[in-house]
Amino acid sequence: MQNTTLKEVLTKGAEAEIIKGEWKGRDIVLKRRVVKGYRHPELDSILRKERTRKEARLIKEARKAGIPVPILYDIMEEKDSIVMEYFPGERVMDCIENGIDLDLELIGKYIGKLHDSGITHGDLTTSNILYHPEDGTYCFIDFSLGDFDADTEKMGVDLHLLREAIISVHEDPFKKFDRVLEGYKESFSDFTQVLNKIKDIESRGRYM
Amino acid sequence: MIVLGIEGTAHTLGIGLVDDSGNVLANVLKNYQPSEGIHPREAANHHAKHLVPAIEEAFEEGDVRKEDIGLIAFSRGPGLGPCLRTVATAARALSLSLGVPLTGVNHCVAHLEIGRLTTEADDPVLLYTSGGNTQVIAFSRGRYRVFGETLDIGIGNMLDKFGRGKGMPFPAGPIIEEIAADGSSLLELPYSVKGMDVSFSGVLTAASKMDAPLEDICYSLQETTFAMLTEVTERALAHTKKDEVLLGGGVACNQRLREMVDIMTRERGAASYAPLKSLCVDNGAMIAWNGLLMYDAGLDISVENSGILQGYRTDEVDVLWRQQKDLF
Repeated sequence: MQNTTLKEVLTKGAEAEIIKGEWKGRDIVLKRRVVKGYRHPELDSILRKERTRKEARLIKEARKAGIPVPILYDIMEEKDSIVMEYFPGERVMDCIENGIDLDLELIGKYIGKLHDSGITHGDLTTSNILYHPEDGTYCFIDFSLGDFDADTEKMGVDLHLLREAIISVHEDPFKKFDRVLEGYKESFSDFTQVLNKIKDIESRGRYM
Repeated sequence: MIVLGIEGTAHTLGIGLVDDSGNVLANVLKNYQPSEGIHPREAANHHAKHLVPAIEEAFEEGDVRKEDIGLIAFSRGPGLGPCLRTVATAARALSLSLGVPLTGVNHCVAHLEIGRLTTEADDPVLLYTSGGNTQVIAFSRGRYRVFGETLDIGIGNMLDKFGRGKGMPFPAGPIIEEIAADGSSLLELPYSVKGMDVSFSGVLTAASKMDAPLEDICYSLQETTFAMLTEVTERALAHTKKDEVLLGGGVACNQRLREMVDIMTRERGAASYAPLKSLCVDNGAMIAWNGLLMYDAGLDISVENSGILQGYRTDEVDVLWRQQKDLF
């Protein structure tokens, strides 16, 4: 994308870096999948391209389904990068920690909608949902482990990860997660089997 | 105090002697050599036959007398039932006849603890790769938790099965490594990473059916599957915010895997460690050392309660010997 100014590296994950920048006066983030020196160059290049393309599609489809995700501005395949809207929010994790009142039912509703559209997030922790206190909006980010063929297992993992993230660090956690589930049940009719799956996943004792 | 540890979860019988300062005094390994895959009963018979001579050999190697032994440790699981029962029986008999306490050790946890003892790793993510096991393990909230693992077969098992189809003897891993050194062109194989988990059955089928020079298949097999392992290890590092990787298990002797993990850790400013080969493969010294840690934490067991745990999970062990660090 032309006329993009990159300013600051926000995070470095296992496979990509997130860089904040500017484009035509708008704040953007660029997610760039970085070269992995340990991987055979051909294999590395194929994986980065495939994953970049897939993540862009997931974001697009999630948006179509009515989930608040960043607006996708561009896919730069040759640079293994996607350019998205910058969402000026705080992590839901920090919001809960700081006692900011959140609409947890609404978060649950969005997750239900996501699953209803056949998409799973794959890394649905409270770090990957953002909240903007001034206008009360939410944003789901980082779909790099997401998938299109949502099955009960994957949907269960989504909810299990969110539950783990909430109950491990927050006050009065079970009530909080229950509020998420209330919203989830409203927007996703097949919720029963997913909820049963969470118990099954828990008993296996992993997916930390 | 000197601890005698007996390892016998699969094809290796190991007798280790370790003192309470963490010195490995003896580490005797006897490997059952199957003609094809491991036959559990045959492996157990092998262990039973070699137990007494191996213990004698260890005493000689460490210049230790049986009166010096203050604790018996054995591999309680996970592993093959007949093998586990054989070494458990020997451990109980030794404990009773010498009048010393008994500890039952989780094999996977022992791989991690011997690495912490003998390398500079302090709080590592363990990439544990062997025949039966493929796990990414790290300490969190009082337990060694499995952050990623194989969803079907172990990496070593995959290499052995592929090798068997090509007429290689067991274990096939080292032979594949040798042949792969002559390969150069990367063939397309399924790359199966799901979050922090991996799966190998698809790549095994694809590689076995492939019509190409063997050196290129071996090369591609290593390049693909080891990259998968390195990737999930990196994900676990990022997730747990740790900065050390420890390698363990028989497949961790592979130079290419070590190299990949080394590059990955260097690229992210972390470090990687691997114990000596004799302590990287299944061995008795790691059982002895972990047994001692457990004993010191009050985790010894009575003979009556020393039943084997064939499906012993890594995160079932209450890691009371380590300081409880909060969360991550």
